[in-house]
Amino acid sequence: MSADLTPLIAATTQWLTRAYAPGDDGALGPALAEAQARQAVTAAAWLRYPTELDAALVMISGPGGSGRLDWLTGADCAAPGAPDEAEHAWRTWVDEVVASWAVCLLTDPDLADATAAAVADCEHAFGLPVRFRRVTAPDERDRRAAPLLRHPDLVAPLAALHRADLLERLGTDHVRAA
Amino acid sequence: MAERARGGAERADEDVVQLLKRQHQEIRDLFAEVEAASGQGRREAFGRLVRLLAVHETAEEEVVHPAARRAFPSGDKVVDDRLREEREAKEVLSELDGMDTDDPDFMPTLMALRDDILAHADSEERLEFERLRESTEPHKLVRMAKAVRAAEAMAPTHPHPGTESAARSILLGPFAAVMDRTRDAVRKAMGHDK
Repeated sequence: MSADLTPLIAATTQWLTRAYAPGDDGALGPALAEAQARQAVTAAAWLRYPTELDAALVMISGPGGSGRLDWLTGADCAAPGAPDEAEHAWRTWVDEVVASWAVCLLTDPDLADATAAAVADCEHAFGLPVRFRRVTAPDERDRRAAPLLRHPDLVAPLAALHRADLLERLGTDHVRAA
Repeated sequence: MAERARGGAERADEDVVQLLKRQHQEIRDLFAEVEAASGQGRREAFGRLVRLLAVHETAEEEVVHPAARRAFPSGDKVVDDRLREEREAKEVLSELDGMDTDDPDFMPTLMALRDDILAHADSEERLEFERLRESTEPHKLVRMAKAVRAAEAMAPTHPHPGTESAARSILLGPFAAVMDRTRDAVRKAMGHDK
């Protein structure tokens, strides 16, 4: 399993959990929201960058950052005044397409299953039988912990950004695997 | 690269069993810390404990249990038994999470949770992890540890080195499209895209 995509996955997860923060005052809700967001982002990142070479290239060129996502969702980054250094830093590692695909997976069980199946044998899995259970078979606690992130209407603008590419990639991969 | 969620004695060649046993020890320590603290200190320690339990459970479920199911003949039964223990502990954890740490019922419930979780951790170490280690090649166990660490990494605190050019290209067009074109061109040049 490649650690190459780790900064992209960690930053994109952080963007999603902040943009769709559950507002839970306990400690468990945010932890479970983050865990399922990270699994969705990991599966999406593996699908978008399936080989070691793909991962190496995006880490060199950069994942693009959260600029358009912040604008789209009106996230706190768009507030007047320049964001401070640390706040700006992690946002440069956010991948817009991966974020969009991840919310597609969190709101559409069929896409979640198809993506989990498509990445099961990719280079990043290194032959290990990885299971993204919180995305493919979320339990009641998972659903309660991420009401905004799993709300199709609330994530619709983000999902719509790159959903067509996700469908195309899954279709292409199925054909290639056949 | 990404920052680690916690410090500790991790090494690049650490295998997944060593890593998970170390997390079990961190969980034991955090239970003791919650018990010893009071007021805001207890609230904060409990928050860290809950987060670690969620992260640890997720990593086991994502990486370790599926491997154990395949690794030895009774793997399915051993994992199913562990998941049942976990389900029971999770119910108590949910109950505690909705409770104020100053509530008179908090400490007795926390102690019950501690007993359940430590018994579960002990069963995992004896019945699942050791057998996984016996029946899995060492390099695979090290890869599994890397996977667990990746699944717990925090976001980077330094910007991507190419940030300035990336910011400019957003003005020129959707960055993703630029990225895809670049990637396709490089793949073709390297002969990876037939």
